[in-house]
Amino acid sequence: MWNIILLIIITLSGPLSLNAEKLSLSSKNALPTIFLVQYAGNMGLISVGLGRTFNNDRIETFLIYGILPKQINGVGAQTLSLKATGRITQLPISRACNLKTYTGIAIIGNFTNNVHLSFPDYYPSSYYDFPTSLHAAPSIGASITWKQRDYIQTNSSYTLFAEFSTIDYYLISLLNNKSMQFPDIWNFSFGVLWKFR
Amino acid sequence: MFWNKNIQKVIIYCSMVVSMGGCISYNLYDADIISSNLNNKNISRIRSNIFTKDTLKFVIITDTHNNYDDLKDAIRYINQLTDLSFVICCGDVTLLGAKDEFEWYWDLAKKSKFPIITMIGNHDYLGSGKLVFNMLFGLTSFSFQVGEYKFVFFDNTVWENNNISPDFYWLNEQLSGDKNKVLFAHIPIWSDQMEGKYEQRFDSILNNNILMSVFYGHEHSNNDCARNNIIQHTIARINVRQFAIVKLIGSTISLKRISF
Repeated sequence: MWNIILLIIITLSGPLSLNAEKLSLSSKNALPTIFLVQYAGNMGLISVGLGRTFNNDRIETFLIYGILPKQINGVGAQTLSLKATGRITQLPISRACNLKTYTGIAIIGNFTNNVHLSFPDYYPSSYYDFPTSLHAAPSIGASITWKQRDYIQTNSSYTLFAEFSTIDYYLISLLNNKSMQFPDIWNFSFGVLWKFR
Repeated sequence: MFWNKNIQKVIIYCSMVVSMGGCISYNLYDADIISSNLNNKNISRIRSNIFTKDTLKFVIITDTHNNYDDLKDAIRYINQLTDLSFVICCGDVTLLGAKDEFEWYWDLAKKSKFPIITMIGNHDYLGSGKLVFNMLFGLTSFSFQVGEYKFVFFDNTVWENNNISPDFYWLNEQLSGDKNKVLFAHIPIWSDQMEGKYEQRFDSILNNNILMSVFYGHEHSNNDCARNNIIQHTIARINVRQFAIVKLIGSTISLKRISF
């Protein structure tokens, strides 16, 4: 399990390492360029995050904080996630607008009842071979982006996105059980990206 | 022309989204589930179905986790049996205690033509699993009587319940009295979570009360153990593709393991 998590973290950090030279040239390059607001998607009722684009906007990475108030369905939860998406296709609709499909993966850290990254001392070591608070969440989605009129000067744009995501263990269950249907494991979320520079 | 092609692609994609959709999840461990009290409903079904009060036959399955194909096959096999009064699932119906896993379990378990009673297991406690279990199935420790028999379901999870002691006072009360009593608990008395003071307390209660037998899950394998003047049994997890049929005639009890 930990090998998988490590592999995912390395994958996520790929865009950063590719751009390491550029990042070291100017601290400005390390600053976020995208603000994200997302509804649902296992990250909370609402989540907000900051991110950057890499490789000519083909890759986006985000650090996202989400919250689910206890009043909504009886369980309060907070999440901290690292998310990376990679463009699959891009279709220009007009000069100022384009449609994009993408795939991605998030590592979601859950802070809620009775979940653990490492289990308390009263458990024997390796009693559970997985951390219950940390999950990988693959996703597939589409977005539509409107560039601002002064895009060339400001690089500013607005994006609406909608995606389906799932959880690592649900994917394993799907692969191990013929009786599970592909749509069973996916959940829907949507949100807005504001690229501000 | 270019515009039309793109619009077509957008429409196809949107219809795929709509056809797959409707499913929103705020958090893996939330409790977005309709309160159903399924165990009470099934206990009512058991009571209304049973006509002979001194002979009962029931099935025990356990530790279904995410082995949904095996659960589906087990239910299909059980549905071909006759003269069954009910089915007991001895806990661990999930891996993570997530609401989706409880729902997937129940989507298959409810296809049983016999009433099915579900116990909580230690895995079902993870996250907000206990709350989801309470909403979907009801109390985690409960009992019911049919004719001369009393069936007691004892929630004895310790570690996943924040290292809190099981309610042995409740168990002792439930096991007193004259009925022929059968006890179900997820974690065997000899298992790691019971070790020490809980094992002693459990032993003392079982020694001081007369039971027909005790059935457990948790260990994932079959085991028959003579202890506390009775034979206690663990039932193998469902992916071993076995379950147990228990027959009660008067004050005698017999167990037969079935492979499917």
